[in-house]
Amino acid sequence: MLIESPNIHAEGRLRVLSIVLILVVIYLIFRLYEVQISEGSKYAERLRSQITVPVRLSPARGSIMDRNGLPLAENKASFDIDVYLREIVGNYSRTHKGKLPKTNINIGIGKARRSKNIVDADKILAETAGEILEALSLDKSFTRKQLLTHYNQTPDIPFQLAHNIEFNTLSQFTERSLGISGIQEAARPVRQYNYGALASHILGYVGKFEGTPEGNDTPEIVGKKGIERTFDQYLQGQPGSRILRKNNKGYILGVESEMEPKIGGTVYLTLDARIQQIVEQAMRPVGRGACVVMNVWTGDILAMASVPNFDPNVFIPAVDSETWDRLTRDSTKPLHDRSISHYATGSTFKTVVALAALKNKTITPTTTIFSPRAVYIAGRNWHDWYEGDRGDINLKTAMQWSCNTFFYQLGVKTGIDSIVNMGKTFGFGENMLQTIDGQLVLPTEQSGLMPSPQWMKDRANRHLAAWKKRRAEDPNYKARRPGITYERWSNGHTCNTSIGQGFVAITPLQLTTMMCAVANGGTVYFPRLVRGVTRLDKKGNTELIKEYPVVKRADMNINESDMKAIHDSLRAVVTSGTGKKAGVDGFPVCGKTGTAQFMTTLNGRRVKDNRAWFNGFAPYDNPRYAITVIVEGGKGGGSTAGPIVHKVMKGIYEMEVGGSIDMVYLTPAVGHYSGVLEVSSDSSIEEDSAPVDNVITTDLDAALLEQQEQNVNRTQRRDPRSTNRRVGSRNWRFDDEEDDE
Amino acid sequence: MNLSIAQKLLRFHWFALALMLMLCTTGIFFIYSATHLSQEMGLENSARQQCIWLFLGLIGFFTLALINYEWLIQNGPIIFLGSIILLLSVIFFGTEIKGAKSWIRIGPVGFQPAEFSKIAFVVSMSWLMLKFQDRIKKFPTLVLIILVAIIPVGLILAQGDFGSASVYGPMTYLMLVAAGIRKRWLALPIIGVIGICAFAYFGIYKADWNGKVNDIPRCTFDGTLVAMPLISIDPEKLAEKRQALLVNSQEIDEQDTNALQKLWEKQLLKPYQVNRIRTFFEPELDPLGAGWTIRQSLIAVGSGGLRGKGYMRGEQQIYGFLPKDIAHNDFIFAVIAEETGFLGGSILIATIGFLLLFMVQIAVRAKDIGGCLLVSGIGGLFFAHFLVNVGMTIKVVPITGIPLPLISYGGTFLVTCMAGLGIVQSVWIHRRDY
Repeated sequence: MLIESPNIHAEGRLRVLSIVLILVVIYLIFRLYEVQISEGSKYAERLRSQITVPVRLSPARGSIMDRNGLPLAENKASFDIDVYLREIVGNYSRTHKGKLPKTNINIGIGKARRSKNIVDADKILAETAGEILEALSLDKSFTRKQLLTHYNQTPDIPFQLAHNIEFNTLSQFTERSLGISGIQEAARPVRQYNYGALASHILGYVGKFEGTPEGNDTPEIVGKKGIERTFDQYLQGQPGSRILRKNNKGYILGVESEMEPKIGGTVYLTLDARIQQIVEQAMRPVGRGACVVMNVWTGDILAMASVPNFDPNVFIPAVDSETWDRLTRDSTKPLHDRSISHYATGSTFKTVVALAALKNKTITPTTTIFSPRAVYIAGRNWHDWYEGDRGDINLKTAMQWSCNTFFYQLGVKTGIDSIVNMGKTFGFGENMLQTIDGQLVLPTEQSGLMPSPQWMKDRANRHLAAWKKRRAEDPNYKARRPGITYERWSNGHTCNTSIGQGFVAITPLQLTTMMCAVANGGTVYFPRLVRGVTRLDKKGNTELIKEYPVVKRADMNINESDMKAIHDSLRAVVTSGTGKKAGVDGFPVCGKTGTAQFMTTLNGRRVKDNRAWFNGFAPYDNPRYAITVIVEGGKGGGSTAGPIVHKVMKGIYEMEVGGSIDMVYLTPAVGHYSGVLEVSSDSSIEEDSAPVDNVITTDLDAALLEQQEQNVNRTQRRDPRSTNRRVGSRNWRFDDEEDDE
Repeated sequence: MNLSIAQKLLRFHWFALALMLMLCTTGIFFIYSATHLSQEMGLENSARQQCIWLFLGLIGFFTLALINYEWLIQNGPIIFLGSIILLLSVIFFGTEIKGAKSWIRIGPVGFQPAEFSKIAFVVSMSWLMLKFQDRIKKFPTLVLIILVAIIPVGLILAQGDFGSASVYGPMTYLMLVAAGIRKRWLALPIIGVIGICAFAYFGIYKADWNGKVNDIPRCTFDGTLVAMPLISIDPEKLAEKRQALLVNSQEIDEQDTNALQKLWEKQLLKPYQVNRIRTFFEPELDPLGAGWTIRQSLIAVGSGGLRGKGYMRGEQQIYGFLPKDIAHNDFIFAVIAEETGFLGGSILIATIGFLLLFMVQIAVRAKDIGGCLLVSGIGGLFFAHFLVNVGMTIKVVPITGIPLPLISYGGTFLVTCMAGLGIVQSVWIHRRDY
């Protein structure tokens, strides 16, 4: 039988086969090693990327509080309703045995435009949830086309059905929508400024991050202005992350891991929201102006308001172009913070001159100076605003009636250097607020200008200095060497400076800082806006991460009797001088009025847009509050700024004795020009302003030019020597104090 | 040599039996792991079904082990005819599943005659080779054997089951080796395989385009997108056309299109085949299309690392990236490698390797050439399935849908494998005693 054939061939060949087999097994194991061990991490990474979705969890932004812990800016939850269209359509398909309504939509652009037949998600949504939505009268904030396009392109991403709905509606909605899967409510944190326009310039606002995002840590919302911007790094929390698991169809199956976001730090301001409220209310009607209230013993800014202002809530979540246009095109500049912008101070600067003279021992409080209606200094007549001789008067009387001729003489007598030194003691010409990590607390803060002979010399030869610097850096610099300009400081400049005109430019904040030092007896403090920053540590306890202590700037070194004389003078201004309207019964206010003349062009016409000032403190016997009010377009310091000081101080007084302040939501204060005085279109003014205009624009310090733009006070800025005759002949008065009657 | 049942039981190859049972059990466990979450596809009972098939397989195994294999070979022609009838009946009465008409359904039970016919093929070819044993070195004999072998292969190809058909090559080859045909003829297929591999690598993958799949210039014939032909009769002309297409695909006029179409018809490979070969070498070229399966399989295996993710924790199949309908049969090795890591995977490969080595041992110790041929054929079956299945999951061979013996889900194939091992045991039981 064939089966009995001997097995002759097999053995040798099968041996070869077994070797081949072993080699194959070894190769497979080797290849497995390669895939799993050598390249294992590569494949593990690919696995991660296809089964997980990292999601950034936005941290809640920290609050901004006033000094008493009242939140001025915080987060509220915005309740949205999201619809998962795929789920809705799927459920509908199940209940309707797969019969889905269809509709045609146009997709694509241009040539590729074509009609596509898709499931009518809009109709399905209306059938599923329409009743509920109608019952709750939720506004339909989307079009049918938006919904269909969304369903066609991104059915897995929730469609936002309603945004920022009210909590009551939401709770009703949650009750009724329980039966509908695929409709969910979502809470998202949204910035809220609790009191509207209150301290809007200080708080600033937030906006969407613009620019190229870097990684997952890029915040969505960043501070754009004010404290929101400066303290953004503290207010921003730590973003959390959530890793979601998804399957091959992209459905989210669950959460793999989650790291909670950490809420941002809380910034404590020195502002007292109650005083801020009083100030804002007092300033509302004036149209354009600013008011600063400070604690004289610490330099804490208790209130700082600027009108017109804006409601930062309009920037949340994003400002619409109409509102933005309105804000930026408004000629009264609601976005501009006037409390830290520099102005000519007018007579309020006389306090500084008086202090300089007393410190310099030029006069004593009892020294009298003969003050006629005009004095002849530096080749021209310098007039008082009062049409009569004051006679021999001492410092107190001069302050009381804001006598210009007294201070012209006093300024010349004591010398510009002592005035400048006094000004520098207060920090005039410098930024007042401390810097945070090398950044200005309020980036728009202006430094102002304290003019001095040296400054004038430098300014006159600034082109030469720039040329020398360029030449030193680059020996091949070929430009023509500018000539030396021999512009010198004269007593005329000193006169102008003595009454706070001319080149003097000081911010309301600086003036308040000065008044703090006067009120507390001679210690100059840095104004402080931010007390500190706290945040929650890992255990949930509040920890102080940043503290800004009270910082002393300098000592005035004025003896007590002299300081007392200044206090008395300032008190006399309010009791019986130019500032009577500022007085408050039971709360003795002291201060100095001032009116800086200012010309501007409004609708093509030259108008007088005076700056009315009041700079003072209260109470007289136990100073606690320093205040500065400036009103643009005011009639005069006493008549326009005085009543505002009265309102503010009265409010503070009532608050101190136990009155309550209504913290109301402020709508933005509207800017206006009601206080400007039209100047008759006198041809001579046009005539003499024309040539002077050129001089000014070329001579002006670049920074000043930028800030003041066309609103340059031509009269004030003209060189006293060259315009001597004309000014004198026209009897042009500098620093008019309005009568208070 | 007449042995009683008890004597036969004592002469079992215990190692091979143990390995077989180990592999079957492993298979059932991992089939469970791969399917317990697949309710939506109705696969959650796969492991239980596999248990039932395992029981049937054991019956087949012991029956065939205890029968003398000589009896089987003597009935070779009948078995051959039976298998041909079965295969024909599939073509007429079969059920089509996933593009291949290879199932016969009797009531609730379905089976694939193509799998059973593998064993029938081994038995009947053994009969044929023994019949021509004295003329085995003559060329006409070889031709005859190949002609006979082509009959079932052709019928299986007619069902559209390319994977099963391809296994017949190695099976026949190994049987011819054991039968003792001339070595020069044996060398020919090896050279052929090497040549095809080299052509695929150098001629297609490393051919002149280096870009992505999408970079293949396309033109439209009857509204279908077609890739450019690869191997041209006239390379220069083709290059010109290609350039023209690349420069401005809008300006292909009808004449060009016709010319291209003519060129096209002369090509050896269709574009999808070209793409398949290229994506085999580089799955990242088309990660969502032709490269999807191999890519996901590699991710599954590679992410397993040294120790794996743990039983039932294979993320690739849980999240459905390793398609659920093939994870438990064709890609069961990927699931095992992902869950047990390199340690488990290499142990599994070694285990199957040992089983195959035992088969070589059994073939060597067979009493006669008949036994040797049977074991070689069955060994060839196991070896081909093992190499192709494991190889395709780790990118050694292209993706071909054939299962892993004893482990993959699939009742007919499990029973087939166990029956095959039963015959092997029978050969061992009736082995030559020194």
